[in-house]
Amino acid sequence: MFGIFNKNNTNAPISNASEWMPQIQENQQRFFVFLDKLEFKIQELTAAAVPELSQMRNSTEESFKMDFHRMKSGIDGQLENIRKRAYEVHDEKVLDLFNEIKAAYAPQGSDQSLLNQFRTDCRSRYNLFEERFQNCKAAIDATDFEDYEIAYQKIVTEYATIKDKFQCKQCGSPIAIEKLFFINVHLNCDACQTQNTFEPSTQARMLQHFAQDLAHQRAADWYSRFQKEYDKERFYYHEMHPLKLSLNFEKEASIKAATEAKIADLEAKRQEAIRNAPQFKKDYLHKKFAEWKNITPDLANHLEIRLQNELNAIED
Amino acid sequence: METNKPLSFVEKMKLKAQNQKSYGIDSEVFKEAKLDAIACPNCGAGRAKQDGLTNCAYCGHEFLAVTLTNGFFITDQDNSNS
Repeated sequence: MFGIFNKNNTNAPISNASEWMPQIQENQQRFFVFLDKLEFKIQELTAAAVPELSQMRNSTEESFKMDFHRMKSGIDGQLENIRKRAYEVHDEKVLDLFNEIKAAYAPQGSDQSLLNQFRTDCRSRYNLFEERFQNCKAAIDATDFEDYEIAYQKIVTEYATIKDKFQCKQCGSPIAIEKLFFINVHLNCDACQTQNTFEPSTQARMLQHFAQDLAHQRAADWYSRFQKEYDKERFYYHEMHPLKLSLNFEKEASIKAATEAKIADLEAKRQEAIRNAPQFKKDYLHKKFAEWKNITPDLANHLEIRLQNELNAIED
Repeated sequence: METNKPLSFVEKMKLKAQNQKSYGIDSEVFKEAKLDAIACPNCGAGRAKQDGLTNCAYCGHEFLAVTLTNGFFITDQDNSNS
């Protein structure tokens, strides 16, 4: 009488998917093929650029490695262009089409699901592209690494060759360069007492600029020990969070007790990490500054003040 | 016979990066270590350690117009008395 048992629902949305379905299928397929091609390009570019960049970073004699940085900027620019094209095409061929269809046909029910699925699939593929792009970018960035030990050894070798080769400009008596200087110094001639000015090479002058980085590289194990401990705090916090949420609707006492025990255990580990991290940082700083003082002994007093300042800045 | 293989895209970029002129820095910036001594431009005398660095011990010519303070290698003892 009231049409209650009428199985034919006259209010069901009329499907118009056949009108726009071919378009989204074509766009999706073409978008996937386009991203495949772009990925191939960035991977090919990265594979060709990484060995060249590494070679330039390590072999170039020029101190500031400007040719390396120019080359790296060029590669970065090429990669960014490719990334931008992917972004624009996703915007234009996926999101714009999605919005156009939505506005023109207002799809309902299963049609709406189909349309949403199109957007989701394209977005997932785009995210995969972005992930692969980031991997390539990380590989390019990793080439910008200098082993300062090599630069330091060059300076030490240079010092060994020049330390006994100078003579007083006034009387010609030999003047020994008693240690590795990295700024101009006055050296006294033992024979005639004339003050000679020693000017270190540009290479030796660079020592004061990379001494801290070299000290950090030598203390890298201590730093990573600290960093791991520091990261544990967040890690355990995120482990605990879903457990805490699960307690809200848990009625089973035994499960509740087990979860609470697990939370307490994680919290204890988190607190331990909070206690350890400052001490590990102090250990790292002691090691780094000890190495730094070894590299530039003349700056020992100044470095001791800096060390104390940095130690005082750490909150226990 | 020598083959003229065309340069790849990356090789061209490398060549360009290496050949580009670096403004504000050139090979003359990188110097070798050296030792030098200043003789007084007024009387030709050298500067001796015990006489200080700021003035010539013989004619009083002023080498440095500043008063030296304590640094790493130079101290206030290096000021000349004259």
